[in-house]
Amino acid sequence: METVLSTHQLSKHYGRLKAVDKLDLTVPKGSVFGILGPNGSGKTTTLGMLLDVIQPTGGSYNWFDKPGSKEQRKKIGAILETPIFYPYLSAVKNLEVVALIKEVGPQRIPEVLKQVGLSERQNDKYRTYSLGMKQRLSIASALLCDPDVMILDEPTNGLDPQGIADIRSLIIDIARQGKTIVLASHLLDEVQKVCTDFAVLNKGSLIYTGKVEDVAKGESKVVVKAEVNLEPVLQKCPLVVDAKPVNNGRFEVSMAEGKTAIDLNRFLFDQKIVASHLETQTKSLEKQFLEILNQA
Amino acid sequence: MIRLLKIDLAKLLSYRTFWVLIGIYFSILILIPISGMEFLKWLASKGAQFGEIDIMKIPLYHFPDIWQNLTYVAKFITLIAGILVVILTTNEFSYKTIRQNVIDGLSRADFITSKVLFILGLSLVSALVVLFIGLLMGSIYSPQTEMHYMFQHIGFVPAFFLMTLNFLLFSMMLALVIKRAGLSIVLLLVYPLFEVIIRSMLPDPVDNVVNFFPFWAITNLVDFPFSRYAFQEIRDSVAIKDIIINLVYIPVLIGVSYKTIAQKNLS
Ligand SMILES: Nc1ncnc2c1ncn2[C@@H]1O[C@H](COP(=O)(O)OP(=O)(O)OP(=O)(O)O)[C@@H](O)[C@H]1O
Ligand SMILES: [Mg+2]
Repeated sequence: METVLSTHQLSKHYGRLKAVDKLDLTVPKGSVFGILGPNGSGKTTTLGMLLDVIQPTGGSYNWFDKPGSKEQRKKIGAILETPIFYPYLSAVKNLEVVALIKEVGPQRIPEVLKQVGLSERQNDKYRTYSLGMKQRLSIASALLCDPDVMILDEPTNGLDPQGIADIRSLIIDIARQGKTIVLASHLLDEVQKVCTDFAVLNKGSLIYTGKVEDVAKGESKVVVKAEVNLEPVLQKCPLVVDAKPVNNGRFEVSMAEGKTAIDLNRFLFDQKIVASHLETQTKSLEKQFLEILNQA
Repeated sequence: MIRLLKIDLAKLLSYRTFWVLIGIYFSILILIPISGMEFLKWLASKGAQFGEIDIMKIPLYHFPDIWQNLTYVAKFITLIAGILVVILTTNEFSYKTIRQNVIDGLSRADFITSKVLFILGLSLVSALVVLFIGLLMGSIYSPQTEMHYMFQHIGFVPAFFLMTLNFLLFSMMLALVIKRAGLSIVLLLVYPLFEVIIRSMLPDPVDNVVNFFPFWAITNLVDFPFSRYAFQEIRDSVAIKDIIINLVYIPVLIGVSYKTIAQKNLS
């Protein structure tokens, strides 16, 4: 698999504080790579190093197997933390500056402004924009060079529900075109909805990396209810690792490796019990995330 | 190169403060020399005397005197352009746009280059304006308009260009070091005093090291000309030594400017 980005022992220390510590990451081409972590875990610092605005104290990184350079950055669409623009310039004028820096023509400016729904206000000064409009403009700016790679640090920060939905479908759209996206976010369901891969940082260290689809795998949980008391039945059932009563007669059942709700249903039926409620619980990234953090 | 200049201009051309300051700068640069003669006439009409000399007889605007007189006056007006450069440079830090410029694909060296190109352009236009005013006023008031007289001391115009260039580079460097507009402007204004104080504290002839300090070196290019009308000796040419010092200062000022952001975190 082609690698878009790799970091090797990448570190940033501020005095004794290890903002990022010996980070090894690999972002495969075409993936939507989520970077998760609590506040202050080093997400923005990591992305800042990859974009040359923060000088690493150690380690290195490669974009497309080459050390970072301005030429590569011209082809990357990036937002880092808060939107940054010239307050006295309009959206269009601001994007003209970006186009000159990225050495792309200004032709795409109306298109990207339309994509983020900012066309109507495009000639107003940036200073007069609301937070969400500023965020939209920074996404437009990241789209301007029709980038192969996008780096998005909390892209839906400050957006209204419609804006969040728009940006998510935009991200999914872009990913469909085979582009690679690195997304730092606190919104775990956002990551679960759009990402293919994810990594978890805590206090500057990488504590987990894997595929989002694997989160749902592993032991599954089934919530079950019947007209009779299930407790004794479940206790002696070989398919069940653990059964906990939850509310109004329901039980949360941890299934043995590879066993699913189908197996449980069949077992109960053989015992002449008919389930009145049977529900597979997909494991959420949120749960997984909290578990990973607690183990760390 | 052209692209880097375009980038800096794209940031400015819709910026009101830029137009206000650039407007004030060029208005004063043009109006003061042009109104100078009228001012003298007014003084004369009030019966003012300059020692024994009839004011109207002072050849302020005669070729070739005009070049030194004009560039000497103009160098004070450069201060306004210096303040403009400070504001444009510190803006990039207060708005954090330098960080975004780098993220978008500008290197730190590109950033400095684009600012230097703007300064180069502004210095060039300033020198051309001064050249034009000199030719105009000289042609109007000078009794001699032969080529020989006209261009005798024209060397003060390129010297003025060099002076403006270095003063603006110095302003940019100061802004990059301080990063805050207010403090940088105050320092720009009081810095000359600092060199004067050092000079006064050092014993003769050690105090001559101050000749190599940036402000002294820059302003030394054009000496005070008006005492010649009181029959005093003046240096009515540009010293090669001063040109060399100033030429050396160009890479030094740009180099220090670059150093302030090279290998630094931009946040
Ligand atoms: N300029 C700085 N000087 C000192 N410490 C810093 C600096 N910048 C960041 N840090 C520290 O580095 C750590 C990582 O910060 P970073 O901004 O990367 O976190 P983050 O994961 O992006 O957090 P958030 O989720 O809040 O955006 C924090 O502890 C922060 O205090
Ligand atoms: Mg952050």
